[in-house]
Amino acid sequence: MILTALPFILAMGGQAVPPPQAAPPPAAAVVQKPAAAPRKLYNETADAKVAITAAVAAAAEDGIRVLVNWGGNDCPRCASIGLAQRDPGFGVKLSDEYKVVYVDVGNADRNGEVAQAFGVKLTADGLPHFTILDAKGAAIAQVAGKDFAAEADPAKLDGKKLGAFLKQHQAPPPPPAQPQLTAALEQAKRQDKQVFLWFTAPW
Amino acid sequence: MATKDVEGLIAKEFVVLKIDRDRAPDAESIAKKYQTKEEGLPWMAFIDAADKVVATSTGPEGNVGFPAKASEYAHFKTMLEKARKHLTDADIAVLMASLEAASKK
Repeated sequence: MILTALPFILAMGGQAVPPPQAAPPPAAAVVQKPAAAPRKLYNETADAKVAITAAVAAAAEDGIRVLVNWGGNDCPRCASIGLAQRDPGFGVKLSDEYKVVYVDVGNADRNGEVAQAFGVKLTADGLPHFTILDAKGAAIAQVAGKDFAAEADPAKLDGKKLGAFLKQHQAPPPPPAQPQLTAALEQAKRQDKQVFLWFTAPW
Repeated sequence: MATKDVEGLIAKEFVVLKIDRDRAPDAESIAKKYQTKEEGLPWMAFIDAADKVVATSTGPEGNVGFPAKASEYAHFKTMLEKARKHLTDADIAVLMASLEAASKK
């Protein structure tokens, strides 16, 4: 994709992620810090519309899709999402394939209008509810978390089932970049410019 | 500074090409062509129309990625100064100010 923007100036900040390295040796002494209050999975004060709009824009830029996770902080199955992602059968690198938005719907009694706009009918026993949006913000797949409840413990999500659903609906991989690079070099030659090559990743 | 102003200055000098290092099927072979060693992400290179690397985000302390501290800003500025054919000193000053403002957000 040839861009005319300099995205890191516009929207992002932070440090480069180093290439993989061996784990450092254990420290000789560890200073114990007081435990911070756990961060809530679903931000109860966030503007859901704004968060979803931003995620759709970011997903479009990266050629991926949006996963909206509608849930609540008091819902045990919602809280099991991290565990589900660590299931060996999950099989999807979520941050590579989706911009994930956690929308607080409480006990299916908040942000109902926003959910409805995406065709979501929330029920307390169905949470979390998952909606996949394409790069234009259109809902292309829906599922209630209760359909992915683990057989052994319905208060938890089945990582394998959820992973299969996400894999099924993820965006197709981008095309080979070499033709775009060739085109960019030709354009640079025609316009007496240079190519600003920017290697990045959706995460 | 407005996004369009930044875009305009960048477009004055560069054709920008973003490559998804993790997902593009040939990203690794392209990276190997331009990198002397494996680098973290993001990683940037300015390449002239003859396909020669003019400058990269690999500075004295490693890949500056998204420049966020003084030494990283300095390296990115060096990259711009090394590569520029059309950008003026004032243009580079504007870009650097924009970058520093964005990274402080």
